[in-house]
Amino acid sequence: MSYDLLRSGLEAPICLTWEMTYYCNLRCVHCLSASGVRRDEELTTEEAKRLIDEWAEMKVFYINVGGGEPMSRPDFFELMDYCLDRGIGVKFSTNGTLMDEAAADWVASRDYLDVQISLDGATPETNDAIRGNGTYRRARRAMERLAERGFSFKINNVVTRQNFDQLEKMYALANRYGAQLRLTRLRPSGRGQNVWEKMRPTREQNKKLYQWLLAHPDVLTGDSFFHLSAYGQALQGMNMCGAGRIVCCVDPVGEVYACPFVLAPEFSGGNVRQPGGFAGIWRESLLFAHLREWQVGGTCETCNAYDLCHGGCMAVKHFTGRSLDSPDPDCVFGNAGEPGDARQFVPLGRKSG
Amino acid sequence: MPVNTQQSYEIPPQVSVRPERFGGLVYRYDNRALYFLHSRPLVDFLVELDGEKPLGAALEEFVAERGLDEGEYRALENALDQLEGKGIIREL
Repeated sequence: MSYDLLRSGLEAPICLTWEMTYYCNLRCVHCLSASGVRRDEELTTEEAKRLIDEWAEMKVFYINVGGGEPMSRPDFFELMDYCLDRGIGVKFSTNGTLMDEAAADWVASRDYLDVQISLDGATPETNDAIRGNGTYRRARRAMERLAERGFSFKINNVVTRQNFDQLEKMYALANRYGAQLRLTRLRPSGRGQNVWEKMRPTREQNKKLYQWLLAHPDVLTGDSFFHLSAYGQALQGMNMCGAGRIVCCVDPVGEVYACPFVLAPEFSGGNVRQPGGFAGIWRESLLFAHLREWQVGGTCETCNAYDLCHGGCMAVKHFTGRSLDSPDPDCVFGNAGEPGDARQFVPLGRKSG
Repeated sequence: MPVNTQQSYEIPPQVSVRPERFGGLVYRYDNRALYFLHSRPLVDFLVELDGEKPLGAALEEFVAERGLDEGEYRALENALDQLEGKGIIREL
């Protein structure tokens, strides 16, 4: 997989994230979308179905559904079935609090449905400090319900400085349920911006994480840690920033962002409610066209690990006040510049219609 | 094992093929595997594959329509061998 292949643009994203609602019954300190309160202008059921029709027509293979808490939408099951009926596979991420017996029955009865339950620590103390009181117990209860039905789910764990030492325990927990562990990088997006400095793994932890991932190829990462591939060996995945190239994110009000970690106006290609809809944005947005052409420049260009990490994560740079052409703040060679030392990303005009 | 050109083949319902400028993408819903195909003729052939006639006849017809040569025919046949191994096409 190379940038060259993607320059001309794919007909549709490979991995599309759909945040269904900004409502959430939890207030996790690191929430990427700073979720909590539903917004009045969120897509209606009918608008959502038209969007799904468009994805089916574009042959989007599967979507990642999140929020907020997607299960809180009264039409959640209806919309998920609508996707599955049109041949779109679904993986949804949930905090698990709304996974009652009926919901678990529904999950277990569907083909091509994946469920990812968030848990950010192997003990209540560690997890609840991030996700709120009682959330460990409630997530575990959801896991029990799915496991009782023989359903193999995924446990999603955002790796932080505080929960790093519990990786083995998390792995064991997933195995006990016949589940798969998925590790995700903490990003300074949404509320994550407030806690990034004190919760981001240390350099030493990142190095250990790289080794741990190599030793545990059954652990999923969603390509989260490709910046660590610069340690020498490519981690599993495409090992590149897919923003606007292979991924994008539709938020609850229909804005189409380059990736789920950059929910900010300067990274929006448009809104699905505008003429041309989602396909028009994916194929014609000036922002996405720019991202497909763009490669990280600056000091990364002359680094011998460039082909392994491609300069790291755009979102992490942007929200720590760095130029997109500077190295990732977690550059394994310690080359990251200081925040604010270079020009910020310049928003591009949207193509209307 | 090579494909059996005397038999009809189809794309199983759990497999989806999407043409792209560089060729195409194939996704298998049952094991969540994604494949990149770097030949547009191969992708076009897959999209048209309906199991109506034996694979060899379908290939010959496709090659004749496109004006492809013997080498391209063999390349398609070899690629189909590999796709059968990955469960992307199957004998009817």
